[in-house]
Amino acid sequence: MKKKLQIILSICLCSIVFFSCKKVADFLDKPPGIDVDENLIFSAQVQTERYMATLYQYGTFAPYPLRPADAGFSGLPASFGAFNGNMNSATIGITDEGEQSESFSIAQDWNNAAVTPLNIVSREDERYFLRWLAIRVANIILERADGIPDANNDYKKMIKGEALFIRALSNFETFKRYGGFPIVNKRIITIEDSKIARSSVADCVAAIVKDCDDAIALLPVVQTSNFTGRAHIGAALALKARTLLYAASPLFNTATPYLSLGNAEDDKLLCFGNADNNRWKLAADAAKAVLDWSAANGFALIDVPANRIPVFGLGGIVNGNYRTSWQQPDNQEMIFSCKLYGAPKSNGSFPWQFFLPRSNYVPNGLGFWTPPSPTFNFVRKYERRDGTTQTWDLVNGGNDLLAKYDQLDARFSQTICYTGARLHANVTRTPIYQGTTSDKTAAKGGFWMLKWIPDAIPTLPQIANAPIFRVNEVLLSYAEALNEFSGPTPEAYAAVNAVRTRSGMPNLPPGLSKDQFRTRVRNERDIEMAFENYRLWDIRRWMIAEQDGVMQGNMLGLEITRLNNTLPFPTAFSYKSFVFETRTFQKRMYLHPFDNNEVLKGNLKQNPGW
Amino acid sequence: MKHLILHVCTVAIFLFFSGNTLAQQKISGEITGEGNIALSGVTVTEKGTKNTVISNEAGQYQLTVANAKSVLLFSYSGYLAKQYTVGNQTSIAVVLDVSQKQLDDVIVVGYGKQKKVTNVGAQASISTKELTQSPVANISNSLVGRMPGLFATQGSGEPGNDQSRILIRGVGTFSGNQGPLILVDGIQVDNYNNIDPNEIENVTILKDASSTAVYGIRGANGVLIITTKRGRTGKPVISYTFNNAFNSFTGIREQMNSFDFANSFNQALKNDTYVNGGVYTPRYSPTDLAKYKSGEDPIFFPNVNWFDVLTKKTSLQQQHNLNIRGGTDKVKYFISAGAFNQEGLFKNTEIASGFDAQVRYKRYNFRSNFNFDVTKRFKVALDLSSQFENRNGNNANTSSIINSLIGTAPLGSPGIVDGRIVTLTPSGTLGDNGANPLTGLYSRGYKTDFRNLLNGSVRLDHELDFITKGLSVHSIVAYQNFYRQINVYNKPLVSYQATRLPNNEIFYIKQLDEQPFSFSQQNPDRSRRTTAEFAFDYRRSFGGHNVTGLLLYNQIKTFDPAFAFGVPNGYQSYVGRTTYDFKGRYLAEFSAAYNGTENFAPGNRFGFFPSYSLGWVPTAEKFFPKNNVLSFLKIRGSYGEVGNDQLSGDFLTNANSRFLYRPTAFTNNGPFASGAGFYYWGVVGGNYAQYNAIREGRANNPLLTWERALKSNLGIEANFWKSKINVVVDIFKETRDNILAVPQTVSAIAGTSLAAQNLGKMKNQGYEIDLTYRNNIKEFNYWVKGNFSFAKNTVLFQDEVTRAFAYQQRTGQQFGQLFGLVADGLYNTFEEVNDPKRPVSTFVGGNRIQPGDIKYIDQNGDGRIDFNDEVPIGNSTVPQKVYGVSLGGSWKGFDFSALFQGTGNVSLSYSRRANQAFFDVDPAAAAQYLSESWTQERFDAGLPIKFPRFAVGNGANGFTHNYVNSTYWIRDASYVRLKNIELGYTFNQAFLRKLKISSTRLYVNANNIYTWSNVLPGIDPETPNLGANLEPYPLVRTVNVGININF
Repeated sequence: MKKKLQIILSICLCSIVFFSCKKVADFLDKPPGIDVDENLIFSAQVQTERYMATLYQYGTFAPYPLRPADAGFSGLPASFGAFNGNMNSATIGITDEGEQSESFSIAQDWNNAAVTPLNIVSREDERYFLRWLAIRVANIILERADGIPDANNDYKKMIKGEALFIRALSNFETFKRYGGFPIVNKRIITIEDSKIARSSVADCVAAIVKDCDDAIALLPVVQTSNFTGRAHIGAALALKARTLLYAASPLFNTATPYLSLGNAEDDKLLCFGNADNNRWKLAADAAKAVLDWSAANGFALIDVPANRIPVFGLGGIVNGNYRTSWQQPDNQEMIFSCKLYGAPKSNGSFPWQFFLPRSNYVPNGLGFWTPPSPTFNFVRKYERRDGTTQTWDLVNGGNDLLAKYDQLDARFSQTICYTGARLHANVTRTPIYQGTTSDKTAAKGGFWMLKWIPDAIPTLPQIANAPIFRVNEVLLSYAEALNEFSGPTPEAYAAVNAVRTRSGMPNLPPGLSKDQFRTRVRNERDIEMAFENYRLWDIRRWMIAEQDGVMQGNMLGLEITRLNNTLPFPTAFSYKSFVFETRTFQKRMYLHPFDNNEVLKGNLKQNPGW
Repeated sequence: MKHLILHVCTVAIFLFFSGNTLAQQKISGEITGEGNIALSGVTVTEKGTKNTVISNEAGQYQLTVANAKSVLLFSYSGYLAKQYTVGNQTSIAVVLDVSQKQLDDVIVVGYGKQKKVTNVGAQASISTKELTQSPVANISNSLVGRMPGLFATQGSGEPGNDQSRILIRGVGTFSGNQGPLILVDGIQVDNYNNIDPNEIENVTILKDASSTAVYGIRGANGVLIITTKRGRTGKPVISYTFNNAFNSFTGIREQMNSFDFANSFNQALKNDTYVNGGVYTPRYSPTDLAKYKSGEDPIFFPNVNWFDVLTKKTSLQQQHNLNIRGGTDKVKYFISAGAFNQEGLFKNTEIASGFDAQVRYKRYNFRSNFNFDVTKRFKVALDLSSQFENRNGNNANTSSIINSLIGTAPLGSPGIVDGRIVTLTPSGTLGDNGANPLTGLYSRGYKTDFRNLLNGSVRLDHELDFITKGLSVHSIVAYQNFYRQINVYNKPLVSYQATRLPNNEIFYIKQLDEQPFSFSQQNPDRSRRTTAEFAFDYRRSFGGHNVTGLLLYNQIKTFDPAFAFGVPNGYQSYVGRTTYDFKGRYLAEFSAAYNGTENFAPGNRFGFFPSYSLGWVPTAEKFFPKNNVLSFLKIRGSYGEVGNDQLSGDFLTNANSRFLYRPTAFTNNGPFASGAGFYYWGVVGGNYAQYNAIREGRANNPLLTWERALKSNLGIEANFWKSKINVVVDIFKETRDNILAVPQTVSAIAGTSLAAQNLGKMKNQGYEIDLTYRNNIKEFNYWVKGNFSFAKNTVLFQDEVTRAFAYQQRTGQQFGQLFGLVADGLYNTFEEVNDPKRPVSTFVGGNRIQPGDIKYIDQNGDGRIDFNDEVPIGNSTVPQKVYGVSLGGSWKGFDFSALFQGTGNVSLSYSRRANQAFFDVDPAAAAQYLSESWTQERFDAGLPIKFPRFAVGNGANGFTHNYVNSTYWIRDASYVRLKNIELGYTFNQAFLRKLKISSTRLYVNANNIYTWSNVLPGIDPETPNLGANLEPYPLVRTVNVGININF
């Protein structure tokens, strides 16, 4: 009996272990619930608004580089590519606008024609993967917008319009780099869905224009002030105008592409396959539509007559209409801008530390990395204030450097930091000459950048302005398209002269030929839109990259020598130009190569020559 | 059931009748064992009856047997059983011999033990004796080379962080966790390396499906089981071991002295002008060079060997262990306490008084294993153990300290002058590795890292032979608790900059004022795990039919705040196993596990993992001729399915990996951003405001499931000449499918990361040979053991893109196969360089190749050298072959052993510190062997040239061309190592008995004694390339003197 008891007791003991644990069937834990899924996002307008923020976060971009963390993109997985978003992707050092001074800069891979399908994503197109993310978000919004229960029709229309606009903007950014691209008009779910091939340039342009037109039909005329930064009709009109301008340009508007893929059908991935002057008409009309819209809605050039030519003392801040136009966020000529940059950033953070020279180049410069140094090739484009060409002695140089600077277009001192100029509040006289740390080995062009740098940056964190569409660009595009379609019409003159006038420049001389006008309007565009990520794309669409000193041949810098030791700053300098670099351009570089790994997936036909 | 009852009755009747006795006879005697020690607890049985006694503390026994024909059987764990026919004796003194193969009789298998002769699985094991031969800190390092099928790689010699990575039968998956399941006394653990080897009875690895299928979803990568020592009946044996060892680096890289460095640097600048088109301006003038050569100005023209400044020749390592083992017939106990202390090889490490940033590893181990026989049928085992670990050291990563040590030029700073850290430039301008590596060492602060692991388990066993004979039940509850705390003490470095005053005196400018320590604490790591198990065991013989059975339920739950979503990780297993053998001739086993884990969707959580094995022992057949040559032969085969639910290394902790089956979530800061998910609208300066953005999370895969491994194994075990030679040969093949991988062919235009799918497929096959030879020449006993393992894997499918050239496909290659260009020597003349047929190098701007650059083979003949010319070169960094040969012997009191161990079919990709000089912003040091780099002078003089030309910089100046992955830098890292030797002497018994000591052994042993390999001098073939700016702490050679005293 005792034994039996013992046995029963011990079985009980053993079993306690077994049964004291949670019920066996429930032992494995439940996963945490999904709090927020797609259905929730589209269950109410207030939820959808969070996804609209995402649409813009993915879909808009600054004309200068941001690090992922500063753009809210830290932790991007490798599968989204090398989104370093650092200084490397600035296009300034790739073109004749500037020379990237940092030894580790990858701009040199463009200048040496060493860009390849293996490195293109990190060499310029770090947003390649983000754009497809943006398009996916746009497609999901288009798919679901009508089903938001508590949203009224206006809201549904607006967000669909915004989605179409961001989709068109992303597609345009792909188009200008690669030509024809795969048109993705719905959410991709399976691997098979993702096997979309490139469409022809004609179809791609049509697709972008259609998205713009559809967006125009849906978007509000303007956004209320607390929604400044969201797309409205003007943004869609401006995007349409820019798309048609690019489409009409020689790179695309041609029967034969810059290099052939071997057959006419494939070549349509690179160009229209025919030249049609009417495309310029379409571009001009589209630009006109933007100008009409802006005139009706209070968007106009900043033109305070007193501020056309800024007045400043030595070492003083240079404030003119032009500076306001790029420095002042949300000013009246800003049609649409990227607002990704968020909170004010101090001098130690992006983007400022990229625009500011290293402190060991410019004492108190406060930069961490160093910006491109504008080249002498570029500075030579500035006219005198009287509208004539500045004369520089390229062979012997001269002893009148400061006098030459003084004669230049007022936009020069609002764009370029030259020797003795004010960089920002902490550097009122920037020393750039031989014997300083900003000698010709550091500031190879003989200049630093001033554009984008707020004067107060050493002391106060600043919000970076990141314009995408501005009125001045539209005016210049309008003039360019009109001239190409029907010569320098009065409307074309008026558009360019408006831009010149607000910066104190005289009107263009009357009676210019079509070619002369073209030269002047292109030069105007280079000056007005300097360092705003226009030049590389303009060079390519105009097909002028191989001209000497543009993206090929000798790049000039200034060797500057002080002629006295006057304090606080020397008062006379000599200049002498020198070749700091000879650049190489290959024809295949007129369009980007698609990333090699993407091509290997089978759906993308690689551009010619890569 | 009817049959069973009938059988029980029959047995009962038989027992009843056999209880009758005839002419009884009383027998007594003393039982002694090795060294004439009285053995208590020996089981003495009258054969064929239940008549059993156990010897007392004095080794005495007394038993009454039936008659003179009775046979006495003496059996004792660890000793060979003996039997005597009683005859007319009344006293039988018995001397038992230690079993040479004490663990051969019974071997550890999953959830239990089995007889070795009838086991049909592939496994291998080693015992304490071999484990303690290696004077190393952790278990994994002492397994190397000793077991067939075990692949171990040690990547670092840093105290407290020098464990080897263990793989069983190589690599079976390309994305999932590759390491084996680790069990200590049947309980799954995360870390086994901190266990004191003196606590361990046996380490076993389970390799094939037959032995691992019971672990089902956790078993695909093999299983490593550690069994700790338990008490034995007898008087307490107190054992004390003390080891005192000296560690030194196995190799350090000799660096160029200042003069050679400066010369080579000038040469590099000269070479670069060809690429950058500049003018050659030497950095070091002839006057400078003369000063470096003469050493006349050691402050401003120093020549510092940083290894001398920063490292010691030897450091100490000490280990104590005291354990007590004993028991009565009711209680058995094993209690052990150990302390281990290992010091790093840094020198000049005192940051401030009392804050020595020397790397130091201290460990305290406690274990008590109790067995209680509560009743005859009811037994309880209670195990408690704890490991306390204290790691002290520099707050900087040791690999980065070694990196700055190896990377600092000999002329950057004078090092330590009069007890002060001196630099030549203002501190900070050259970075950590610029001028003086001490700045790096000191400025990061001092760190203490405390870890504690507490383990407890209770096991209850009950025999249920009143239901049916041979049936028993057991249950286990175990609990583990882990805690870790890191404290960092920081203090800015005070260094001095040397300047020369106008009067030629040297003045040291203090760079910073002394500042107090700051203190910070990292969030503690905590985790706990509970395990519970309940099982029925059955073991019975019917005539020649031996049957065992196991039905088991097991559940494990691990709680760890680091797990994604904070959800604990659980496993549930239902396990069944049955074995059958007929008279040890025909063997069969079937085992299966039905496993579940919350890693997969409800409904897909449970999987069934069966395995089938058969064996045949021809030597046990009647027809097999009895002979002395082939004394035992077993042929066995198994086939089965096992799983792996750890689909990636961070499957539990990464929110993007865990619960991948859930629908896609939208998240603020999820998959694409750890930072802010915001956008801003409104007018800046007015109503500008931040708006939260929310993203589509990673895509989901509702069908997510475990990796499935189909394993087959064929083995032969043979003993020749009465076990003088033992041979075990296994061949195996595994196909692993359902490997989790992200489809690579999805175009980026999808705009999302597609979910990983169970699409990958891989195979792994190979063989193992294990040979043992034992013999003796009179009193000289000796043995030789050898093992050889080969495992080669192939990735069969991973949805790879179709690459431009077939030779670039990764699919079809082994996991981790290295790719690179094929180098074909160097260009030596401008004629070669300027040959129009020379392929264009895309790695140097303007194709500016010069003599001294590497010549590559243009694989695709397109006239360009680019990444498309990369082909598979060498192997992977995981060896395909591992082997070990050990030999040893004993003569009288002396014993000796040695272990040689090696690997084959393995590659090493050199780190840039190893193969490049001058690549940092401020030039890094250069290894001495780089003196044999290409220069025109060396070429003209016909001197040996082993490296391409010198260059400066990190990407500019055509640097890339010579340092892309190529056969020039990927080397065969096969090696043979004299891993371990030991020499011991056991003192004479008679002398010691007077001191009340039962045995004492003195020994000397050493580890990592010498290595033969083809890699560059000062680099260990096992240490990995850690990537830029990290260099592994070199492996250490350990020479140890130890004593073991038993009371």
